[in-house]
Amino acid sequence: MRRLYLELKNLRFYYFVPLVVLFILLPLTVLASLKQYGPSFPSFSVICQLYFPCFAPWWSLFVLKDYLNSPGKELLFVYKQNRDSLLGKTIILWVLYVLHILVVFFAASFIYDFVWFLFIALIIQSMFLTALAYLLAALLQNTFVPLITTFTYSLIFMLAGGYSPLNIFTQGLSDAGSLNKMPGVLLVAVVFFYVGYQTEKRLYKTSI
Amino acid sequence: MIKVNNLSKSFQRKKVLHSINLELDIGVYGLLGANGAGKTTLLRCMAGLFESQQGEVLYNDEPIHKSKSFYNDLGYLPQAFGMFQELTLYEMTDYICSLRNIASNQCSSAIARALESVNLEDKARDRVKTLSGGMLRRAGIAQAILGDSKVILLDEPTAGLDPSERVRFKNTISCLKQDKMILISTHIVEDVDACCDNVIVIDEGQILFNGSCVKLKNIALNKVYQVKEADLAGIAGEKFSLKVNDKGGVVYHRVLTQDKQAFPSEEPSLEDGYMCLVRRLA
Repeated sequence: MRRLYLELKNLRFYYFVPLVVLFILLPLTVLASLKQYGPSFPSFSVICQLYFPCFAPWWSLFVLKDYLNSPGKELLFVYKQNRDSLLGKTIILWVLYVLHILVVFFAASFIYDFVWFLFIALIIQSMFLTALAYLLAALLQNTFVPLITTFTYSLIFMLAGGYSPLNIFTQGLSDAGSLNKMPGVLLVAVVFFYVGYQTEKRLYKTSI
Repeated sequence: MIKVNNLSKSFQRKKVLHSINLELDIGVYGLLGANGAGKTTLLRCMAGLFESQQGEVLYNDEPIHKSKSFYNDLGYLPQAFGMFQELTLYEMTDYICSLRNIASNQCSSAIARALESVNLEDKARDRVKTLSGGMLRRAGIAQAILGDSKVILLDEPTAGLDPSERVRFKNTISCLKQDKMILISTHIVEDVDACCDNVIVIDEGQILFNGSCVKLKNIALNKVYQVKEADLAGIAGEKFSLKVNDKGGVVYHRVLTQDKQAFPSEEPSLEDGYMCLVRRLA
């Protein structure tokens, strides 16, 4: 926990970006939507899917930056050896992010029905993008490209993805039936984590 | 304490280390070699960073990757150092304490001691990104000597240090060396002369010498001559001009040669011994 605290402290301004999005930008957008359309669940669903998943890898990527890009990566690798994996860090930070989403959804449950279906979908979408970012980071030994890739993916597929099989986002999400796509997304996310971990074990050492 | 058994390491087709055998016990060892001799690769293998194609590194008779105590006992300073730029020096060192499993109730005193050793105690609350290159190097030395490291591997520790900090570094090593194995990789012969009890000379991935500093100096015994430039042509046999200096307008050459000369030889230095080895004049 001490290491996690220091890693997040090292992010400084960047630590607060997801918090600003979750607790300021998103509520403001929801308020604007409420004013214009009333308590419309589909618009809430679109706003949440636009904001939440794309910021899921944010903390992980900024924390991994020191392990992948900094001049101190050699030292960090020697000391961490079998104690710590980048996968472990990524998952812990994803869980932390999900806990923040939970707070927002607890508040949203007073306004909207069906929020928990959306919550489940957002957890899985966040996991998918975190896993994709982790895999790319391990593969490219770089954190900038994964960050850009996950943002671009989210924007393109959320705004113009339609019914593409590559799209993890869903319209509506008002009942269990609208979660049909999610088991597949979850499976792909797990595969990404696994491949990323194998890549981390093989490539990290040789990249020094 | 540490044994390197028949260690070889290649990068693709290029063989960097050739069947290295070493046995290092408590004491300060200097790993001396030219750029590209294989010093850093050897250190990285000893730190468990590189897997070797052949041979192994043992810590207390156990392979390092299986040893539970090795990584708790290891202090390591790589050539490149600098991370967590936005943390204070104290916090960055605290992070290393945590990575190295130093008990949290001992961290504070261990950090204070280490920073004092490298004269950075007044910079503890400064952000890492505000430290100069020399200070960052000293911070690197501080993290390597944190706590009770039994094995300390330092790669070019004095690179970028000013003369007074180099003296301080040598004093720090002298204070630390009681019950530790310290290996200092460098190409600066003066550092080895000042800090180390033993010296290992590596050249093109092979160990040319492993012994005391006195022994290395003695390799150049009766092989070092100080001659005027005008008399240089009179030196018999194969020779190598080590240093040229000007004394009162007269240019002198410090010459290494295997052949006995007619005039008296000079007292050899560690550098003379090292040059004899790498020039194959031993």
